[in-house]
Amino acid sequence: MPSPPSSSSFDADMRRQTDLGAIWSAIKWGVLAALFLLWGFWLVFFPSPRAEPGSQLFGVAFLVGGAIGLAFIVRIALQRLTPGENALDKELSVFGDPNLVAAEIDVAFAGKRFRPRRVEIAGDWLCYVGKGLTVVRRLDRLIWAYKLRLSHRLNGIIPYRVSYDLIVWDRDGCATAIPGSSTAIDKTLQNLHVATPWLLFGYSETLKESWNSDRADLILYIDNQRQRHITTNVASE
Amino acid sequence: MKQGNPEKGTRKVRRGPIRSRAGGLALILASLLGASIVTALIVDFVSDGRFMILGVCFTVLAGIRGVDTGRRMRLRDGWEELQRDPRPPVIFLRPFREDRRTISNGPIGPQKGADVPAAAAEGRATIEPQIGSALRAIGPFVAVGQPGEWLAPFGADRLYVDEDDWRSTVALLIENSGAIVIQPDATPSTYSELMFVARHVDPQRILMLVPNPALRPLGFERVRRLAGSLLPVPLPQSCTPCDAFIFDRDWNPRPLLFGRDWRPAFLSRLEPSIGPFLNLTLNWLLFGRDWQASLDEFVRQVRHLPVSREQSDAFSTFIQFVRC
Repeated sequence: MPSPPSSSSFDADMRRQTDLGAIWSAIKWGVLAALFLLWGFWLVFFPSPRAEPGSQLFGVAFLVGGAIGLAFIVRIALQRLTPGENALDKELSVFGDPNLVAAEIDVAFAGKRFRPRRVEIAGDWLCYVGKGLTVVRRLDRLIWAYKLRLSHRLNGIIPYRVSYDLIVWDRDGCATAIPGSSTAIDKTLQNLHVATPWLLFGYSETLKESWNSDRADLILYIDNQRQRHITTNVASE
Repeated sequence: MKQGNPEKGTRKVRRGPIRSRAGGLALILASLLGASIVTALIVDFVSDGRFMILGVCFTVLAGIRGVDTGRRMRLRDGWEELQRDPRPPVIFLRPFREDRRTISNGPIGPQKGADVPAAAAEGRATIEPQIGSALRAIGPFVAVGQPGEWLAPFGADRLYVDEDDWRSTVALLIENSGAIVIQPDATPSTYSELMFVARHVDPQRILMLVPNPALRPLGFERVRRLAGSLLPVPLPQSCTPCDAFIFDRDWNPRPLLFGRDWRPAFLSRLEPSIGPFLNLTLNWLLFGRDWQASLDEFVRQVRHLPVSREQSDAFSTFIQFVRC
């Protein structure tokens, strides 16, 4: 049984950041619920003389909704902070015993400092913690990666913001979207290309249709590419 | 001892879909009338512009869905069509999953992480409704229907057969067909169908639908390997973009690209956005492509082949038998 991660290990830093993310998320939603509570309290106990009839009923609804929401947020936050139940443990448990996987990640990232909101790639692992999102992926399970540019529009018409995400599809058919700046995602894709040259990079209609309609063949193709790469590397060594 | 009902507790399997020409017509008229009345009421009584637009859009979409459902209820039964039309039929053989496959505007799959819009379906991937009108020049266009369907899909007229003897029914249909449209894939049923077709059908009567190698190279390669193991002449390893192959009498394949686009560019660009919200008729009017011209060569080739009277008679007897 491996010893629990030391306080300065890569895994411990990720764990700390995951907990901070859970707390920050709880605070953010908790403030919203508290505002509802406050508004409801105001409507019920200090009704304005010019208030429309029935506004007190709204106040009661806000009070009840806010209280239920606050209780739910606290419960979720406590659950997320419980060892074994938090987001990082859930991500690690996909690959086996979380302690063993954490130790493996520590070995892969030995000597590297964890940086929140950066996609870190080393050994067989891709890790990201930030913006309430925790991602741990084995590189040999990835199939396809590309940068997605999203144009946000007001009422679906007026563009007001552009955001970028790194999209990574794995062999289980699941996508992970990691937000970031355009340059950061480009750099991550470059690093990913160095670590896993067999992966599919970039988006095209051909890749999209192949993924949707011929997924098993696409995964087999990537497996063959990976095997060929490993064989070439072993031969050259 | 009380005898239990043997059917009690067992799930009843629906053999055929809901079909009613009168019911379908009634639904179409009710949908049109209902949508018009509700739209008029919304315009009259709703003062808020946003709710008015939303309400009208919702009503129009519901009306279109109702009309489409009515049209599907009115679709002809394949067996009736075979009895009505004395010509040898065109049989469409494909894996059932092709009926459900859709074209999406992005990669399909569950997503985790940042808020990214999921892929939306743009419509059915099958091209049978489009090729159907051209192929009906040869004979009635029929396909075996998927058991358990509530409504027959647009395209080939569906024949619903018992699950126990579908193989023998399909074999008889193939032997007596005027032409075969086959969409092979790596499934046991389409493999056996392709094997049967390769042995018993004149290659000039076969239209083989394949994934376009320009869009789905891996799918094309899968079908090419499958066909290579069964056909006397393999499909070409690399070829120009194509949707199908036709064959000469020596099994030499000739690629065919469907749907040369005659539309102005702006309509092509609009299709992914508004196409899914329209019904088949409107889609065809706005976004229809020249499918007829693409299939002319195949239709001409088949029509020049002789049809033996004996074959037609045997087939008529078979249809009578099935109908009885």
